[in-house]
This record gives sequence, structure tokens and C-alpha cells, in this order.
Amino acid sequence: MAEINTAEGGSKKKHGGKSRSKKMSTKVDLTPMVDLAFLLITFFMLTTTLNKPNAMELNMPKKALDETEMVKVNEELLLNVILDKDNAVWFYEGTTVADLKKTVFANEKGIRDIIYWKQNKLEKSYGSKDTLICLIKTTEDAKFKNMVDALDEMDITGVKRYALQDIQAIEIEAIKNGGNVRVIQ
Amino acid sequence: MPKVKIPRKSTSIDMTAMCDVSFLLLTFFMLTSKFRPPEVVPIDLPNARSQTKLDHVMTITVDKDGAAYFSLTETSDRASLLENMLTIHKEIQLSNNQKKAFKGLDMFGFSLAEMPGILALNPTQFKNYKQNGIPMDSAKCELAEWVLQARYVDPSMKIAIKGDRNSNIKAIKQVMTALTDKVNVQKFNLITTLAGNAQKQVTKVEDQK
Repeated sequence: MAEINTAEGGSKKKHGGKSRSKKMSTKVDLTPMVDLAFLLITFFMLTTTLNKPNAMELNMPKKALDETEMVKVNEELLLNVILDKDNAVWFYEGTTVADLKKTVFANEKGIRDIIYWKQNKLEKSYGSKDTLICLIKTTEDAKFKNMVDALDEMDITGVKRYALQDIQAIEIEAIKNGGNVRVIQ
Repeated sequence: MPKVKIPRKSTSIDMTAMCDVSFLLLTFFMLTSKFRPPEVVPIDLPNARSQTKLDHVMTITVDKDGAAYFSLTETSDRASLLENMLTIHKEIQLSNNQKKAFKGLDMFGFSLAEMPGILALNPTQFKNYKQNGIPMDSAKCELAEWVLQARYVDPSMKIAIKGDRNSNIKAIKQVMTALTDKVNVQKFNLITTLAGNAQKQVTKVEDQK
């Protein structure tokens, strides 16, 4: 492809004895220039598209104005996930704050397996695993990363209904006591 | 029978046309592309699987100390945003130079009271100035005002929250409550990065320990 331009008529024999000035070709080989241009094009194309940030969409519910606007759900469908400091995750089922268990964010034997387990349980009793409702709560010591991790788990496990909620005082107390609320009589 | 002579043709092609096209494209991409603006605060993004791309957004950045910054990508939007803000806050008077300085800011994190002073700084002074973040207490939520006015400028603009992975959840929640309660926005985006990076996975494993 890239050949060196030699003077045109180099192979021809000289006419007569007169010395003529050599006629040089005006053609320039443009191949390297095209190469360079395409390299730069690729660079600009890639940088422009890669510059856009990835994003995760989050829909927050509208604040209920009074009790009639509140949605009532079956207690059995609930899985509470509480994010704590040091990437710890607490979870319990239903609405009774008791017997909180601690787990971690991991691909296996972490919160993901808990969600799968709950989904399977609901699929058996209600016929669909989409009935699961996850409530994500955070303690004050949790990091933003934990929240994103939790939302990412919702995406991975395919939980259709989840919400970010404020933590209740009783839950904070339960976590402080290592999972159970002391019974005050 | 005489041999059929196939005339030898040169294999070289005229590259001029191709060169023209490629440089045309190159010019197009160079002119349309925008370079990433310099980061005012370093943000270490959290990892997630999501790959939705965002375009035309207003970004609320929360750094690891919990300070909030606001940014708009289009300079024209910034100008009208500032005009909107100034019509509400009549007590703040800005010269044309200060307005121009605001238009040049990719990201800002200062209160309205500090604004005239900061905009009067020269670029080197500004670079060394430590911005404290936009106030977002429930009593005087300036962040909500900025977002609300930016929504008036362009209602189609999406809202993105860009939080540092190590920032406390409290600051992020504060931003979210400001958005849901004060601006009445229920839908927003969290900016994340893909967890493909080897180095990031190492830190993730360390985090779990």
C-alpha cells in the first residue's frame, strides 16, 4: 500500500544528450495522514460517549398526607433490611422488631441469599416472588456506598417493590442490643 | 495464438478523498465533544450494576465530608439560573463581572451570603478557596432553592445525586429530603460506576473484612 513515490519516468531512457531537470511527481502518499485522522476520530468518539456517567434511577414515594393515603400491606410480604456501620446488614421479617440477624454484602451467603430465600418462600405461599416488599433503612453510621449496594442488590435479585424508609427508634435499640429488644415490663 | 496481456494496474489508491472525509469527521467530533470539567472535589463513586447513561442533568455532588455542591452542564442555563436566583434574593447585588464569573463555574458549593465575595476572587484565589458546601438545613435550605430555580430554567432536566462512597448516609438523606419535601421531586438518579475495575473489587473485599 504505502509505496515510495519515485520520480515519474525514472525507468525511461533519457532522450538525447540534453540534460533535463527531473520532473518530480506532485502526488503525496496520504495513507499515513488518513491513519492518523482515523486514530484521532476513534479517540474523540470514545471519549465523548464514555464521558457520560452511569446512573441508577430512584423513585421516592410521595409523602402521605393523612392515614387514608397510606398503603396498607400484608405483614408477611415484608423484609426489613437495615444498613449499619462497617458494611453490616441487619434484617428481619414482618413488622415485629424481634430477632434481627446480621449479615454482609456478598455474592454468596450474604443479603442476596436472604432475599432469594424470602422470594422463594413467598413464591410457595403466594404464587409469585414479586410480592416481596423490601424496606431499606439506614442507621446513622451507614455510608452512601451501603445504600447504593443495597439498591444494587434489589436490581440484581429483581425485587420489584422496595422503599427507603426512616429507621424507627425501636430498631436502633434492637441493633444496639445485638438483634433483640429487651422486654420492658 | 498471441498471449492475452493483462495490463498491469497500480495498486495504489488515491487517498485524498478518504483523507477529506476523515478530517471532516475529526473536526466534527472535536467540536462537538466536551471535555470533563476539572473536579472541584474528588469523588470516589460507589459501584453498581446499573448502566443507564445520563444526559442533560443537574448534579448535586456530596463529598465525603457531607458538603453539597451544585452543577449545571450548560453555561446558558447557569446564566438564567443566576438571574432567577437574583430576582428572588433582591438583597444580593452582583456586578457583571461577578455574573460572568458565576457562568464560568462548573460546580459551586457556597451559601448565598458568601456568593458575592467568592465571585469577586481571581481564578488563583478561587482555586485555593475551600468551599464549604451549599447550606441544606431544613430551616434554610438553599440547595432546594437552587434546584427549584434550575427546574424553572429547564423542566426536562434530570436530577442526579453524585455521592462519595464514603460519605455519611445522613448527608445524602438530607439532600433527598430536600428534594422530595421542598422541591417535590420524587424521581432522581444516583451516579454510580461499574464494578469492573480490579482495583475497586479489591477495596470491596477489604471493606467486607
